[in-house]
Amino acid sequence: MGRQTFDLVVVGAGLAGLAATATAVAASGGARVALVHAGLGTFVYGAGGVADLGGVAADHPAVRDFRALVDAAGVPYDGDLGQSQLLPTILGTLLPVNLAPRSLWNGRVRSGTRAAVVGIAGLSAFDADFVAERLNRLACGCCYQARRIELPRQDGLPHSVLELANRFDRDPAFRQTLAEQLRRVAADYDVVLIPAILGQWSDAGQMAELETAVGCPVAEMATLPPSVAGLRLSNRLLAHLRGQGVDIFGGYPVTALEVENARCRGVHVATPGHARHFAASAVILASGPHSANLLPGWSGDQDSRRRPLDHQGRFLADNLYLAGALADPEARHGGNGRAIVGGHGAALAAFEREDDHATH
Amino acid sequence: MRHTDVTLDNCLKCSDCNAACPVMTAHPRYPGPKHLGPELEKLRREGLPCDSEWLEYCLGCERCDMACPNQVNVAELIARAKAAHKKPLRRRLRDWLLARPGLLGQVISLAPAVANRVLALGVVRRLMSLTAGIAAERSFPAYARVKLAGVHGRSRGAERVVFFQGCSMRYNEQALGRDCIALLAENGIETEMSEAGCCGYPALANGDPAEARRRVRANLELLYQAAENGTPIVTACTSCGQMLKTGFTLLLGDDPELAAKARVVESAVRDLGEFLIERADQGHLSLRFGDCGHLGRLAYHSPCHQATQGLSRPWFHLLRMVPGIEIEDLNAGCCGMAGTFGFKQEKYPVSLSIGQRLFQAIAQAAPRQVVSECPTCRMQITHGSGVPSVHPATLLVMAYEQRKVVDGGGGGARLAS
Ligand code: SF4
Ligand code: SF4
Repeated sequence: MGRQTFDLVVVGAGLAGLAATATAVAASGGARVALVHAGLGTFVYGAGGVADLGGVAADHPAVRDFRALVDAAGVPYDGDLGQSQLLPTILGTLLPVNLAPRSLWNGRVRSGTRAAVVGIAGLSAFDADFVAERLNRLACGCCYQARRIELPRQDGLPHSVLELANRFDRDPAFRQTLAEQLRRVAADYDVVLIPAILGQWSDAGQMAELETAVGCPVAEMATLPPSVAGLRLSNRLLAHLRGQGVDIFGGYPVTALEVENARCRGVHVATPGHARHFAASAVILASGPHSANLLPGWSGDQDSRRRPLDHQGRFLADNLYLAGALADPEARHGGNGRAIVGGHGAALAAFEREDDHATH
Repeated sequence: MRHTDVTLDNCLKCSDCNAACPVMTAHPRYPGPKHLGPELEKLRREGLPCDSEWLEYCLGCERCDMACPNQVNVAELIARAKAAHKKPLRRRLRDWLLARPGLLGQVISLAPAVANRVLALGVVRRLMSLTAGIAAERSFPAYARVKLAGVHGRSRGAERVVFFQGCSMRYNEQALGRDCIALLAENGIETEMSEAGCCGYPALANGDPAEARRRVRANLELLYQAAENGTPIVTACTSCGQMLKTGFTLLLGDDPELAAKARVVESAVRDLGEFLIERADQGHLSLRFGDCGHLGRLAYHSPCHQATQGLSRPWFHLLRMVPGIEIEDLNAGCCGMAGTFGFKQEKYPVSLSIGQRLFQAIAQAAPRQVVSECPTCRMQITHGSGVPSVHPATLLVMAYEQRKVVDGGGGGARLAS
């Protein structure tokens, strides 16, 4: 069996796993960190907005660190934890959110604004008339008007959000046409709302460029899966962490944790040919509720340091930590906030533990 | 889990696979892995007609598999459909040939000097494009007559590996083969060059499972004994590695006896980078590297079939152990070559368009050389970016030799060509 050694293995590449990985990299200074995942979390279903923090204080360091992370990764968030604001959705509803990626945050309700809801001819995934009409019925103090733009079709095909996003990433002429079309609409409005299509890889600089060309803020709205805004967040965070030296092992599930005498020695990954064994000084499990089957004897509870406990209240392993939906199975709301705080906490606990070892 | 028969209900239609697919970025009409894989498979299992020419456009990069959160073996479903796909005669003949790089290599290396000159002629390339549908823009790699065989570095070693060369090394890159031998010898390992032929991946990729099965069947017998004895089977080509780790079971798994043998061989296979990084991990890698600052700025491209082996980027880490080396990880996606795909005239524009992101990243990094372990990635990189490319093993050997120069222990410093 192949074997490699790491200081920390994080399992799962959802927000919890990514936050844990980033925290570990920042907190440890040069630790060898592996991120093992079997797919890309739930990013295609949303945009990464943070609605509440699952009961923790608004000035929690997890949030400060997360904002530093997304800034560095080129997908900055805006907002204020102390106060939620309303973001329009493609169903024509308003969603209270505290923090969101900048391109979504641009669409928040601000009394007295005139907003154009811009549909794209040939893109059935977004109905501007429906969205504007429903939003106006909510009488939130903004005025929404449906508009429509035409973008050049490839081979005369209908558009899809993924196709538009890929072209935004790859084709400067397409970006320019989009900017020109939006600029024509924007003249009469304070903000333009569009479906999320602004690239799978684009960073804050490219967004700012677009807005300069358009002449007003451009706000994205997450579409039905695949949500390009969510994909962008996942892509850029993973690329950023890889740039920070993290080894990312994607595509294969962890099949077992190796636990011996209340110590987790590492994880087994079902890679082709032969399974690989990653030895680790600490393991963070952030791979969703289905991963409970990796924890035989787990009572469902955890201690204050996020370690899973057995039915007698003893930890399963002194260096094994939980984060994300696995740790918080009942949390139906505020999942992203809990993921960020949980991932952060687990990483700090993991390194505190190692420090204990070093000093003893 | 991949490479087992998951139920199609696993697919939740999330489109993660489509988002990750390189062909989707470059061809507006490509239906994407979600459709060609799980969606069409439903019809195929019902016996309904659902053949599609688009199956030929799948690169087999398996990025869809890597992205799928529900462990659907998307690329394998597409490969199975590809095997049943009907092509018009001209493409069928051409793909028959491209499925057999070993045959091509055997024939050409009978008279390599002549063949190389003939293949380089503009008129021949235009003729090939007209008659055989091979992109005239591509240049063929040079063929050589010399073969690497036998056991090397014997004086040094107690440990031995069996080395799987693959067609590219066997017919075009013997120098790289010698570098791999030197690299292993430096680490006290003797190398037995296997007689095994083509891994069978080109046949699979060209929708020729019968030929692929012949190849893996022959290789199984040639590799089994070594694997059974616990000798690692090492390859420096990532696509050979991917095939050697999965193809035996995929193609021979129906026969219980062969399936058992297949598992033994597959579990003995190591990518050379994987093999070395694991030795480094255990403190068994020679670190007698000389300073390689003279190489200038380098950029690393990781082939798709490196990630699909679940390996992250061992070669990048190995090179970073060399003092003075300045190397950037490009992380700019698929190069678009996909083995023989980029040679096909009608696929050539798509191939280059896929590589656009990588070429831009290379232009930005402005390296003196691009480092990548896959031979066809390297072809595409040099073709698309104009920057020379090199296998990381060559640089690592250079680093060892550099130390010998400093120590005065013979062996001249070599510059990458
Ligand atoms: S990523 Fe997997 S689950 Fe999602 S659409 Fe593709 S095959 Fe289906
Ligand atoms: S194997 Fe690669 S090219 Fe083929 S469908 Fe999957 S992602 Fe696309």
